[in-house]
Order: sequence, then C-alpha cells, then structure tokens
Amino acid sequence: MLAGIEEKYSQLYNYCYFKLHNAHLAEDITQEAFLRLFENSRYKEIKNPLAFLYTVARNLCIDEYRKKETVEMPKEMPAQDTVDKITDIVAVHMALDGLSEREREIILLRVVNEVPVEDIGKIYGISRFAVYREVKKILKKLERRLS
Amino acid sequence: MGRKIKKHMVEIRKYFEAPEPQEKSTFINKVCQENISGNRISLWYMLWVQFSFISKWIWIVSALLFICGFITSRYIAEEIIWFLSGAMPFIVTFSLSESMRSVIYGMQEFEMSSRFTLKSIIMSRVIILGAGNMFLLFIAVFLAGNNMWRNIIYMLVPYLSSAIGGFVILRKFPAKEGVYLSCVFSGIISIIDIKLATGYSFIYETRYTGIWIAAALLMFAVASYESCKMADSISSNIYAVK
Repeated sequence: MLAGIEEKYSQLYNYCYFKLHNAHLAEDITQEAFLRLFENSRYKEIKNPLAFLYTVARNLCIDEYRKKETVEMPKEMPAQDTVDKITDIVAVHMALDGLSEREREIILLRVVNEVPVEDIGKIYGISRFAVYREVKKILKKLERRLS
Repeated sequence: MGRKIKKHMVEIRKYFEAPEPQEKSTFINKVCQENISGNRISLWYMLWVQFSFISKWIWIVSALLFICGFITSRYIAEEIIWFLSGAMPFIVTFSLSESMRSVIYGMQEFEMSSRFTLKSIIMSRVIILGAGNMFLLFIAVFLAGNNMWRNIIYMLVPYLSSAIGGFVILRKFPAKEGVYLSCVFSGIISIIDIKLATGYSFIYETRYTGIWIAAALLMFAVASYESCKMADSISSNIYAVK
C-alpha cells in the first residue's frame, strides 16, 4: 500500500489545495485521508485505495466548505516566466477559469493527476462511460476556449 | 486529448500547482517507521486461510470419485472413462455448495462484516475448489495412462458446462434451493454426457478433438465470467428485498 505514496500524497494534496486554496488545511486533509485509509485497511479489504483516498478527501473538503472559515488565498503568477510563457499562462488561466468548478476538478483528476476513469467514476458515483463522456466534453470545451 | 491541450499541459499543470507541502516527508517517515499502513494479508495467505475452512468431506468425496474413475478406466475398460466424465458434474455441485456455504446458511452479513469482501471469499473458495478438482483430475487421468490430454478435455467439458449452469442458477437463487437446482442440472448434464458417450461415441474420435478443445476453452472463459458475475450479484444483492 505504501508503493507510490509520495506521488499519491502530492497529487492528493494538490487536489485538496485546489478545493480549499489553503495549504495548511489541504495538507491536514491529505494526511487525514491517508490515516483513514490505513486505519480502514487494517480490518477490511479496500479494493480501490485511490478512489477511497479521493472520496475521503473530497468529503473532508466539503465539510470544510460548510464551516466557511477557510480563507481563500489568491493564486500567484510565476514572476520569472518570459512574456510568451506569461501569455500562454494567461490564456490557460482564462480558459480554465471559464470552466465550472466540477469541470476543473475533473480536469485536475483525469488530466493532471491521471486518476483512472474507473476511480473517478467511484468518486462521483457515476459509471465509467459517464466519466468518459464528461471528460471528452470538458476537453473539447477547454480546447475551444484555448483557441 | 487534443493537440492544443497537449501543447499547454505545462501551463495546465501549473494552474493546479499548489505550494510545496511542508510536512510530507515527516508524515511519510512516520508512516514508514511506525508501520501505520498496516500489515496487509497477502492473497496467498487469504487463500490458505480459506482452504483451511473448506470441509474435508468435499476433498474426500472428490478424491473417491476420481479414484473410482481411475480404477474403472485403468483396470476395467479404458473406454469407460466416461464414467469419470459423467461424475464430473456432481463434483462441481459439491464444490459449488461448499463455495456458497455462507449464502446457504444465511451468513452473508457476517461475512460482509469481516475483513474480506463476500465476493473475495466466494471467489477464493471457487478458485481453491476448482484448482483442487483440476489437480485430482490430472492425477486420475495421468495414472489412467493413454490419451491423457484428450481425456482431460473430455472431462473438462461436462465439468465446465455444469459449473456454468451452477453459477447461473446460484446467481438467480442464492440459497439452498439454488444448490438443489444445480444438483438437478448436474444430473441432467451427467445423463446427457453418458448418453453421448454410449450412443454417439463417434464424437470422441480424434477428428473432433479440435471442437472439444474449442468448446473447453470457450466454456472456461464463460465459467470465469459467470463465477465473477455470481459473486458480484450475491455481494451486491445481500440487502435486496426478495
């Protein structure tokens, strides 16, 4: 279960940060999700640890929303990039900002964190085909916005 | 993924980039040192545990049937290997009833609350009993001598067809009735098998071996699929109102 834990930790932390925009909370939730996975796998078989981790993290993030105490930190643009790169970054930011929260979340899971389609389906409680369709639709939308 | 998205992958990743986690290494070190991730039970250990729960009678009855088949085919007449072939469906029924013991005695909920899922338990028993039967079959046919591979195929076909029927029946009737029905089904397969062997013995000629092999392979695939489907169905329908 420890295989690739470092990579999974970073990906899950990224996901939590995306949901909360708060590094400390994101890290707390990441660790809580891992601890719950370890605790649960002591007495029962967890068939899909990745889906379990994301589901727990997602639910904990929702709990945090409800508390409404989270201070949103503005995203900073990297200063050292060249003008071209900055133009690209701005274009991507605008394209991604134009997507809904759920669409961005799916992009993060599928495209950035490369979570398998089956696991995404488990996280959202939808079928693999529904995930396929949604990812395809979002990617098309993003591509249109990028052009 | 489109070309434009691939081209902007770095920027997309950057968009979702978070500040470096501060406690990552501390957390991972702690997890490694204290072995918090837990000692996971290996698949082999789980199979071994399940093996110890399987009733000894199943092995004794299966072994007796194989010994009978071996004796008849070796010392009485080689042609009546179909005796063993006809017994194969019943061996399947014994094995299936053993695999489904928790369902037959209404202990699914208890199994569900244990460490392993009900599906894993059913599947592990199906695998152990199937492998055990195959092992006994190989020994019996190997000791019987001539045409070993052909004889194995002749016996696999009724065995697998009976297993497929049993899996389907137990999926539809996951209780004692299912075992009775699969017993009846095995009886029908056995009768058909013996009728074919005695009345239409030409089907056992060498020129039909290819068809037998194809049938055995096809049935193996269907049996594997049906066993998973049965285990899935039983584990997901445990709380369904009947």
